[in-house]
Amino acid sequence: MAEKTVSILEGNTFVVSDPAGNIEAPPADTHGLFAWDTRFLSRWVLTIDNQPLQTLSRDDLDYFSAQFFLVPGTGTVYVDADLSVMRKRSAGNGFREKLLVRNEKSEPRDLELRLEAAADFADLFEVKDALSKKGETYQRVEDGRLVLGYRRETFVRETWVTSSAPSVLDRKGMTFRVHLEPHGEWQATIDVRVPDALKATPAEANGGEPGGPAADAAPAKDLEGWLASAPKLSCDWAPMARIYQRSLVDLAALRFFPGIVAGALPAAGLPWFMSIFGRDSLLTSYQALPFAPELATTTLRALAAWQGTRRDDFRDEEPGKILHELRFGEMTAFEERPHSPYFGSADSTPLFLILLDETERWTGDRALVEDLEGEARAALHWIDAYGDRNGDGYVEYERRMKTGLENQCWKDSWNSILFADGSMSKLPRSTCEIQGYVYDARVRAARLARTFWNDPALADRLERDAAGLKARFNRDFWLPDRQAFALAIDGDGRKVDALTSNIGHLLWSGIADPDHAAACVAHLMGDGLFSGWGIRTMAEGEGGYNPIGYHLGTVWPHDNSIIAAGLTRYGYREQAARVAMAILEAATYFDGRLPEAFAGYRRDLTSFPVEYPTACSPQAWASGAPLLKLRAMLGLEPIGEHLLVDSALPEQIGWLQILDIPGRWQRTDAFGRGRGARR
Amino acid sequence: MSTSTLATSTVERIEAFFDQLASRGHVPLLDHVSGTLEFDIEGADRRWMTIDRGDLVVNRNPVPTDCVLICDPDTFIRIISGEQNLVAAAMRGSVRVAGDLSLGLRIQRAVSDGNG
Repeated sequence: MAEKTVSILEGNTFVVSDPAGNIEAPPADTHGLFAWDTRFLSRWVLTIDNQPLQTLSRDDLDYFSAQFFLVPGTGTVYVDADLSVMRKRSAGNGFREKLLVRNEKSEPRDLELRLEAAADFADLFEVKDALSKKGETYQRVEDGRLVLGYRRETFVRETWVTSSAPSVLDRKGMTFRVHLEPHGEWQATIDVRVPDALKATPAEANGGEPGGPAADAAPAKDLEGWLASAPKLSCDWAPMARIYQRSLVDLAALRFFPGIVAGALPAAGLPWFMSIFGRDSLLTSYQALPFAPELATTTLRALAAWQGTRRDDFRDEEPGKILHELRFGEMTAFEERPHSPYFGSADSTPLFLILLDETERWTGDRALVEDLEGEARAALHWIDAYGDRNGDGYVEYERRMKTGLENQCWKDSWNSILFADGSMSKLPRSTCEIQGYVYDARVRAARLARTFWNDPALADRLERDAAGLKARFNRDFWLPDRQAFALAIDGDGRKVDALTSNIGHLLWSGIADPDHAAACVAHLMGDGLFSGWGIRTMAEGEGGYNPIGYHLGTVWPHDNSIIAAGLTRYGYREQAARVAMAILEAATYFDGRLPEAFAGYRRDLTSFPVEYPTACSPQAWASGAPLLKLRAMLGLEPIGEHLLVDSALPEQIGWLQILDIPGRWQRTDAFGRGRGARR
Repeated sequence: MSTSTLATSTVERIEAFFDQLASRGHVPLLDHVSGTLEFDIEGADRRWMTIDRGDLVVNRNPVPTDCVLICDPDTFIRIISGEQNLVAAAMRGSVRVAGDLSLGLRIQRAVSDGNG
C-alpha cells in the first residue's frame, strides 16, 4: 500500500485511492468509494497484461476530480515505457473514470486491460471500529453492467459498473481487449453508480448520473459559480487572500445535500464526518453568513425537518430537540447505532434559534422565520421542558442509554469536563456555554416573536426568562476565588472549576455581566489560556491540562473564532484582533487550511503550531473560522437594512477590504484601515 | 397476503390509527406544510392523507400523491405504536419510500404532536 492517498469528493460521495488511482482497501482503512456512510467500492485496480502500473505523476485538479499518469511496471527505476496510461476521475453519485491508453511505439500492438472491482459495503462505523459484516455480498452481470451487491434481510445496496467501450464483464471486474495502431489511442468511460440511501429499490436508487449531476463540466462550473458569488477580499497582509480562498473552496467541497430539502449545508468534515451535524452545521453556517448565507437557510430547513418529535431514549430524542448527527449506513439502519438521527447534543437546539435570528438579520428572509415558527416554538419548549432536566433553571445533559454520548456539549470527548485538580465531574452536567446559548436564544426568539409571529406576550416572557437566567447565572456559575465562570455545574451541584475556553463563549452570547466579562478577558488573554497561537481549550496549569489532549489544552480555530466574536461584542477590539491574528498566522503554517485543532504548546516553545494528529481535514468549522474572524476584525454587524462596518485590525494588517457582501442590502462593501496603515 | 388472513386486531388498529389521524383536523406544527402522502399497507389498506397548511384530511380514495410509504401491516403497526423508527425502517428497506421524504417525516410529527 502506498503511503500517500488521493481524495476527491462531490456532493455526498468521496473517493480515497492510492497515487495510481487504485483502491485496495484494508478493512479498517478509509480507502474506497464512499457515499451515505457506506463503502461502495473496496477494490478498484487497473492492470495491463497482468502488470500493475506505476505513477509518473498525478494531479489533484480540484476537490472533485483527479488525474493519474501511469506507465506499466512496478520498478523504482523508470524503464523506457512505450505505453502511456491516463486515468481521470470525477466524483459525484459514485464516480466517472475516463481511461486513455496510448501506444508510443511505431508498431501495432494488442493489450488486455483489466479493472478489478469489489465492494465490501462496510458501514463507516464498521471501518472505524473494524467490525465484520452480518449480511451477504453478491456479484452478477446483467444488461451490460457489473452489479456488486449486498443484502441483509430487506437491506439491499448495489454498486453498478458500466463502460462505454466494449468489455467482457465477469463477477470480479471487466476486461478490455484493445488493439492499438502505431501511436494510436484507445479510450473508455467507466461509470460507477451508487444509490440514494433512502430509496428502497436499486432500480430507483441507482438511477443518478455519476460524476456530478451532468458529469464533467457540472462540478467545475458549480465551483466557479460558488467562488464568483462570494465576496471579494483584498488585504495588504499577503497570506490573507490564500487563507480566504482556501476557506471558500473547502466549504464548497464540504457541501452536503441533505435531500430532504433543496440546497446544500456544511457537512462536519472529511472523511469521518460527511453528514449533517446539528452543532457543526449550525456554527459553520453562522461563521459563513456574511459570505455564503444560503448554507444557513438549508441548514435551518433541514434541521427543522428532522426535529425531534417524541421521547426515544435510544436516540436521546425529545420533542422539539435539534439533532446531533444523522447517518445512513447499515448499522444505523439496523439500529445498532442510534444515528437515525441521534439527538445527543444539548446545545444544538439553542444554536438553531440563534442561527434562525441571525440569518434573518443578515438576509431579511422573512419567509424562513415564518415557515419555521412552529419548529422554533417547539425548540423553545424543549429548552424549558426537556433541556432543563432537574428544574434548576439550567440546561443539563445526561445520556439515557450507554450507546449515547457522555458529553453532549462541543467538547464531546469523555474526559473534557474536569475540576481544576484534574478530577472528573459527575453527570448530569450543565456546562456554562450552553446556558449562554440559551440566554441568547431567548433574547433573539423574543425579537422574532414580536416582529414576525405577532406574539408580544411570548416575547415579553422570553425576555423575562432571559433576564432571570442572566442574573442567576452570573451568581451561580461565578467562582469568586478564581474570578472566572465555572466550566459547569455537575450532578452533585458542584461548580466545576477548571479554567477553560468555554468562558469566551459567554461573551459571544452576551450572558456575562460587564465586570465578570472583564475578568474573563484577562484570563483569556493571560498566559494560562493564550498560547500565542490562540486560546487553549483548557488553561496551562490546570490539573487536567494536556497540550495534546483533545479538549484539554489544544487550540481549536472555531472556538477561537467564537471567542473573537465575543470579545468584539463586549468592545475588546484589540484583544479580538490579537486572537484572530494568532489563528490566521497559524493558518500560514498549514498552507492556509486550518486543522480542526492544534497543540497548545507555548508559541515561544515550538515556533510553529504543531498539528493535532487527527484524520479529519478539512473540518467545516475550522474552514469557517477565518470567516468569522474577518467579521470580527471588520466589526460587521447588520443594523436594520444596513451593514455596519467598524473595523479594528491587528497591527500586522494595514488595510483589509471585502467587496460585495451579500445581505438584505443586496451587496455592499467593507473597508478597514489599521493603526499601522501603509498607503 | 389478503385482508382475510390478517388478524382482526391488526385491521382494527390500522383503522383506529387513521380515524384518530382524521380527527386531528388541524395540526399547528404543520401550518407550513401542504401535500399528500399515500400509505400503502400491503394486503391491508391504502389511505391518502392530505395536509393543507396544517389541515389534515384522510381519504380512502386515490388522490395525486407527493410521497408514498409502502410496508407490511406488522411494520406499520410497529411504526404507529412508536416501537419502530420510521427513518431506520426506510434505510433498511422495510418501509419503502417513493417521492418527497420530508413529507413522510412530517407524519411522525403529526402522529406525535400532543403526545410529547
